[in-house]
Amino acid sequence: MSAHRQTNSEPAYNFAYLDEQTKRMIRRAILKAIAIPGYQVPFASREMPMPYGWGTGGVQVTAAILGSEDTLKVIDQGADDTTNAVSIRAFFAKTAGVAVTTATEDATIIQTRHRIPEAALQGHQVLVYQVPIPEPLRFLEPRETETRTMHALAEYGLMHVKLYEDIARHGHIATTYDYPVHVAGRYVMDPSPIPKFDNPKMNDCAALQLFGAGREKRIYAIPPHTQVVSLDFEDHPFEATKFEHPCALCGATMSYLDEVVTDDKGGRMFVCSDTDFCEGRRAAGHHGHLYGGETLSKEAAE
Amino acid sequence: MSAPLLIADNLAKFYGARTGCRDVSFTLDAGEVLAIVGESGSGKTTLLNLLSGRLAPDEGTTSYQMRDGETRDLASLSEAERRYLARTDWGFVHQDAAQGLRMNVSAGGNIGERLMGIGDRHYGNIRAVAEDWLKRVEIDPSRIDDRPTAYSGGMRQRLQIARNLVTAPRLVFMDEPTGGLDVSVQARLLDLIRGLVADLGLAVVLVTHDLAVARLLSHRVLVMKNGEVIESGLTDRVLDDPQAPYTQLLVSSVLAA
Amino acid sequence: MTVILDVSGLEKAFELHLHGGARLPVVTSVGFSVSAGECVVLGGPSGAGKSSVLKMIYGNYLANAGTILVRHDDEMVDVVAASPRLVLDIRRRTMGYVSQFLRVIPRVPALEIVAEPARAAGFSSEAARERAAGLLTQLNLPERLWALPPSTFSGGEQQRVNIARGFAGTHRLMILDEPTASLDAQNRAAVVGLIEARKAEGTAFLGIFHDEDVRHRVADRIVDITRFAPQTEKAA
Repeated sequence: MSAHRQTNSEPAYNFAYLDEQTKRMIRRAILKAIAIPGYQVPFASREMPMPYGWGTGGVQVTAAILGSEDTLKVIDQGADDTTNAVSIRAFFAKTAGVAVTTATEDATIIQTRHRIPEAALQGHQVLVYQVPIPEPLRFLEPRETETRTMHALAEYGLMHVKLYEDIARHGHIATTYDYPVHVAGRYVMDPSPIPKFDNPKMNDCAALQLFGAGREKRIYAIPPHTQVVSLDFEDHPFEATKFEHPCALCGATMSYLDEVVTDDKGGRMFVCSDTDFCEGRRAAGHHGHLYGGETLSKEAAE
Repeated sequence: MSAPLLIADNLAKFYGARTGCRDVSFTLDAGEVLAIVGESGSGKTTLLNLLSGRLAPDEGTTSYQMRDGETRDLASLSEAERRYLARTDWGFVHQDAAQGLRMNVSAGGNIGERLMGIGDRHYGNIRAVAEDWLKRVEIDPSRIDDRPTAYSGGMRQRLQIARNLVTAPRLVFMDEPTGGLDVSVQARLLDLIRGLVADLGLAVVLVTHDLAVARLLSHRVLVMKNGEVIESGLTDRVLDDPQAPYTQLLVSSVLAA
Repeated sequence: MTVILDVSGLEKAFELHLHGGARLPVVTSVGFSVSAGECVVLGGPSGAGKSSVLKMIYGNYLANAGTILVRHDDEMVDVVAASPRLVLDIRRRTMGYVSQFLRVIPRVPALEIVAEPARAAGFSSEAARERAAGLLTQLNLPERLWALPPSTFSGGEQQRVNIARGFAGTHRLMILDEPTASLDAQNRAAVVGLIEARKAEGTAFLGIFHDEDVRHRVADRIVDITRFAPQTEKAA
């Protein structure tokens, strides 16, 4: 670790902000989480210089695994350029002096809020999720003592009650994000509020996936190439969201789209939520029907 | 003669210097309905909790004949086994429906929970079973998607019963199941319970302070006072020819309607 | 003839704990037996303890001493010493009881109330209902009432439902506690008919009948209960 310190970070901070003892404590929690896929490991979450809900859990996990050679990418809802993503990226650039990028394939650590990048992740990469509520059973069972027992005994009937309620009310499983998964045939896990479109990407993923919940003081993990199954019913099987339109900018048909309002007359368009993915496709010559050259990007439309 | 379903052997529970209950022994056969009567604070509910494994006894044992035929001391069961038993082969009907139901889940979800808990993963089947059970407890199946908060007190109790019976338990614990209901609603609920118990051959341990409920539902009765069983026997015998002074008092205190 | 019921040394006293532990002796050293196809009637003035004896035999009252042997599955079983479970089994399969009043079960239609003991005796639902319908017809209960719960019936109608229910099983021993008290002559005759038919089939009857006419027509023997009056009562 000491080798990491003599970088171009601001001298007032220890490398990556957290002190070494704290990082060791978090690493131990991470190792335990990796050893028990899907299990929520309690950890002594620290106060971070940002409010809860802004990714304090993810930031602590990232700080604990970050090395000086790493290249960090931070996304918020798929975008590299929103406030949350920009400030966390700046935070680590300042406190750890690491290289940062917006290109998915160049990153070794990707901290994310609510998305998994479209590009397939690689074995040398780590995906760090920011998690608001780690407990998938809480919706129906508010008692933490009871939900822990349910996890311990793998009593997961209640998860299906939640899905049952969805179908009873809406005719189909209406949960579109935060869609619960069964990890390695043992623990049921909350994948954080990613769209269920992303759920299949968690299965057999080559990258290590780490989940940090700062306010709730929990860390959990999906090791590389772990089976991750979205819960469903035999007669209402899990289905990833499908879109009627291709991306208006890059023409992609297999990516997750955001709806963007373009004027006050009801005009709207659908564009990739993963900005890096979208830009990469456009650079490679793929164009959607609203693509008007280099100047019209998603930001311009907003 | 087959082995008893439930065996209470010298059960005792103390709360500090105070006695919750003591020296309680009896056996319950399949299909038998046993009422535990007595006034508030007599130890009825403590005993019920000792019998249903919700409370560990300080002395004695409760044994249960599992579905595989083996009789096991409840204290020797792992927590997983005990919980599995409680949500498959047992039922528990609470006086307060909010304790026995998930109030923010629809009636169908409440009934289906046990099925999903034992691995049923077919929405259509679960819903069909839930509808069938609603009919059996005389709730209009069109109310299947309503939450219990929209149900009357009597309907909530009936829903609680359906939620428990869906896994065909052999033993149901009932804690004042008709307490707090209007008299006319009570009568209808009692009649329903009586019918279900007879049709399904359920064994029931029923805690009640209402002797009329005990008479209508139970085969045998235990009379409790200060944590001890002071009289037991055939329900009509105990109620019509009570022997213990306290039982005589209890019986003579009932207002004849 | 096969003895179905054999009572000996039976004693009953009520201990009234709420009234200073007063002891109220009812009967002592009761002894008699009833054989198959026989109808024994208990005689004596009211208050002599006739009903108490019937209730002890049925297991409803606790005997203080003595034995009540009932032929159950070809074995003489002592009701006094039997477990509650065994008493219930005896009531279900061997010993029927018709009381003075119908204990109303809310909401259940008359026909179902009558059919229930038949089902318990092993008849199919269909056959049990047929048997019940036959009995209600014999007892002149209008068919329009069959589907209704008896709680709104007149006393006589309720009593006929009660009798029909008592006779719907296939008990080999029937205990009758003044079943004809609230019936008119025509219906009393119908009950006598039922008793005679079942006697011919070998059912043993033990009953109390205040109605002289009925008593004469059904009784093979009369056991005078005053013979068993406790000594203390005489002294008092």
